[in-house]
Amino acid sequence: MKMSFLRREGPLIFTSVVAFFLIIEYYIANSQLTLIATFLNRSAMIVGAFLLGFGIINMTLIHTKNIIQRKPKWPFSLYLLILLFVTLVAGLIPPLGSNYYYLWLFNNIYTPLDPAIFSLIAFFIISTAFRALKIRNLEVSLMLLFTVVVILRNAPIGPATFPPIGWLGDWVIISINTGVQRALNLVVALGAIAYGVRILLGVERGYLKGAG
Amino acid sequence: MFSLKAGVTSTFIILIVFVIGMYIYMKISKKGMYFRRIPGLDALEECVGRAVEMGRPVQYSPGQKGVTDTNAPPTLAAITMLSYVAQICARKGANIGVSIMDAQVMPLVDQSLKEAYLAEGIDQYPKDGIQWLAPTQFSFAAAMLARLRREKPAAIFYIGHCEAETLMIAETGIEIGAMQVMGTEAVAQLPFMTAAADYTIYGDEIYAADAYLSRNVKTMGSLRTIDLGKLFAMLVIIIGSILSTFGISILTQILKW
Repeated sequence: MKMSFLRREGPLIFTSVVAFFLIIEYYIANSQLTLIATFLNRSAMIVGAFLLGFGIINMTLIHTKNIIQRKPKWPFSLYLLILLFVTLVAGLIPPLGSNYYYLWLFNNIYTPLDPAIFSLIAFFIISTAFRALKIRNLEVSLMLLFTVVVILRNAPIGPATFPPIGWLGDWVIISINTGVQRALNLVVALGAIAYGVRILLGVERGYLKGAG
Repeated sequence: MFSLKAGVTSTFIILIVFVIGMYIYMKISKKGMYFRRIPGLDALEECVGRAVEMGRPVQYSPGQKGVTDTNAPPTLAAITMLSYVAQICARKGANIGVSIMDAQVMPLVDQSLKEAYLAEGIDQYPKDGIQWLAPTQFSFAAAMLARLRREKPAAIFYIGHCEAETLMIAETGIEIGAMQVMGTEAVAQLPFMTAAADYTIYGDEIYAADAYLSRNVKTMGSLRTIDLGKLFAMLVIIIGSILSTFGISILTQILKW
């Protein structure tokens, strides 16, 4: 009974009280409330940062197991662990986070790799567009038409050869696209408020105890 | 002393009315109340069933954000949905793997899986399947793509806040022949999901998962309040547009109050 309270009702009450307090602080101007809210927000950030260590432990355990059990492609696990701990040790050399070795790893390995992965998205977009824009019905035909208009509006050749494509493309982006995006944002906000209220009232508890 | 902050009075009143409306709807809602279909949520069972038939695992990711910032709602909604997917996996005997980007969600994911398996009478849950891959977007994307190609899941669920990595994951899913259910509140990613995934759960629908799947009368009632909120927003937009056209700014002033 006590264990059940600690695992279910306890977190639920704690969540509701903290959430209610933060909502009140958002609307009410009071320096004491703001102080407590700042403390709560900072506490959440500290707990969040602490949990990064949890992630590293999880990663280390899984890959150590891969190596010990000689699972397929285990050398990659070894490689990952070596890099993880080399970066960790480099980061711990004073001055913390800004020493030569850490910055070298960051600037020469991490920084070039990040945009390299991002650039792959161009190829993924092409293959998705190719599949999505095959004319099958009226909706896809309309989507293709608007896509061509927007592509031509953005490519220099479009406005140069056919000037009205500029305002037509602007109209599609400003009038249609922005309108739909705003409507979706509005709906998402309403959904998030309702979800928040359900959590606040303790009705929504799927995230706490599993399966409703 | 206690006084309302400047510029928030109107939103405060709207919020109070919304909460009261929701409370009333939750009280008066009855069993068997109609709610429109959400194909993405209906497909959870089908996707897991397909994975079992093919003898391949299920892959789930609760997006890229944690639970301590403004992106917490989609992450919590994703964890709620994970509970249902894990329970189906436990029931049907599918192997589930969870890929995590923000380590904050690890304890929640772990607990969700444990409880879901326990609910089906299974003590052992696939703890090794829960993997924290990387803390940054493209490192996570690279690790996720590698995991998908290595494990070749037959069903991929990518729910929660996401950004450019969505399309990479969806396209890789198509290449390995996985059935995909994706959902997000990030409006900019919805077109990519629509184009690449088999089922897309749009915007606020991800928050409806618990109510929709559990058929809980109270939470179903709260979904009706959202529809009323949409109606109210539409009316405000239409009336506001008409008034603005004639140069009357009273509604704008009220909303800025």
